[in-house]
Amino acid sequence: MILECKDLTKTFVGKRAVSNVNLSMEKGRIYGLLGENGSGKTTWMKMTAGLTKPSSGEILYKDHPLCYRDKAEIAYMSTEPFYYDYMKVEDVGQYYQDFFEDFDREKFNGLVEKAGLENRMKVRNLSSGMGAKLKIVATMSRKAVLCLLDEPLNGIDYKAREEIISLILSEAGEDNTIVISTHLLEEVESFIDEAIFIKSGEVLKVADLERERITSGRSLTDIYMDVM
Amino acid sequence: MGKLIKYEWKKQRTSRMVMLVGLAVCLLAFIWGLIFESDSVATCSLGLMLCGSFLLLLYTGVESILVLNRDLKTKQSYMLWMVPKSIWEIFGAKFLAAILQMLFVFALFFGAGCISLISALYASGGIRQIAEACTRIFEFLVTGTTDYNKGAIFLNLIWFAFSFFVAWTEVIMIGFLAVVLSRTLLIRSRFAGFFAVILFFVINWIAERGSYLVTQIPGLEVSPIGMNVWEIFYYLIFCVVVFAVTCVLADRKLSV
Repeated sequence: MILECKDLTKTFVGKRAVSNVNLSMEKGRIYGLLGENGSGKTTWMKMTAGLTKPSSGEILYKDHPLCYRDKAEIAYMSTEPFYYDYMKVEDVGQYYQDFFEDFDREKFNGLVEKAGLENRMKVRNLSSGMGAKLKIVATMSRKAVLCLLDEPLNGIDYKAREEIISLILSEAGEDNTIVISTHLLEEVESFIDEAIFIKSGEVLKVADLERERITSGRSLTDIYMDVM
Repeated sequence: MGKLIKYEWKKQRTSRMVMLVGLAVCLLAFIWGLIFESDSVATCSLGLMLCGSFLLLLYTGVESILVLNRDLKTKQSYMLWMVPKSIWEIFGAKFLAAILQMLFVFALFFGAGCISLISALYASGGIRQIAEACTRIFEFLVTGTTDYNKGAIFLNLIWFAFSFFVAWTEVIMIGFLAVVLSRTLLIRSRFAGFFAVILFFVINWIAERGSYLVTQIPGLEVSPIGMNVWEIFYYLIFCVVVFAVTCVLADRKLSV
């Protein structure tokens, strides 16, 4: 077990963003965290990445309570741009290199070129599509054990989406676990192993897509419509 | 921690550039005033440099608090909180970067002061008189009399600088705690910044109240310059406690 959440709850003033979530994740699988906007996907991811503190409950990473050292093995990519304004593309690479031992600078440079970015480009001047590519390039240049991608396909054109998906797939393997939150079901149906359906902060169902296809013949969209 | 300090240092580089440019302009104006014997230009530029040195030393401290507030308010907070570093290292780096920034400003203005003095000496030609005048000014500032002992003046200057540093540290620490408290209690609120300012003054008042009580202990002498030893001791303990509270609070409750 790579990750386990026990009765995980996050309450903001007057609102439960995540409510008693119990989840287990295994190594070498790709999970889709599916739900509408505001369903608690981002809050769950931020808690798992160690950015947000749970109100109650527990997160176990490799069977021990999550702590700051685990961030060396957990990569988190937020929906919004978060790099410092003064940075250039190359500075982002340097930042990751400075703080993450699993970061591969050569791979980063290669992916930057492949994504049509340039090292001298200012981060704040990038278009939303270019910015999304940079985030995914930096995140996937790490050999993280657990990779949390929050809406990686949001607000970007079809071609860029295809590039991002192929990049994610090229990095998926037996040694790492990838969690992708999205509401774009069609984009992820072909490659996720398990779907976690979340609504109003509660996990409604966890479905093994291969098994579902074999036993009931239902697609991801069918299950989504049934559950949500 | 060195890498954290490196990135904290970079966050204030715009203000450093503005200071450098401003100071260079003032310095050039002062030299221009000396060369062309324009007393008004020389006096104004020197006055600006003197006022600027005090104001900017204070501002650099306040700016490091503002940077923390911005870090916590925006998504850029992820940059700090996603790295595998403890809260103690993160806040320690922020504090050390703030000290470096203060030392930079101090060195900048000290350098400008030296250049101004050398320029003035060169222009007037009366090295001995000006050197003597400078000594008398220092003596007056430090002891309030003209009857002086050079060793005592030097020690008093060091004590004054240390007192200033401790007071400045206390301001930074209180600022950090106020921001963290505010961003913990009022998460996602647009009033969090305002609340942090209120908290800053409240905690500062508590610190000053404690300091006043320390000076009321019978047998403690009031220092003629800077703080007395017990006040320094009190403020150092206060800073350590405030720093520890900030880190524990951020570690357990702060969400970005």
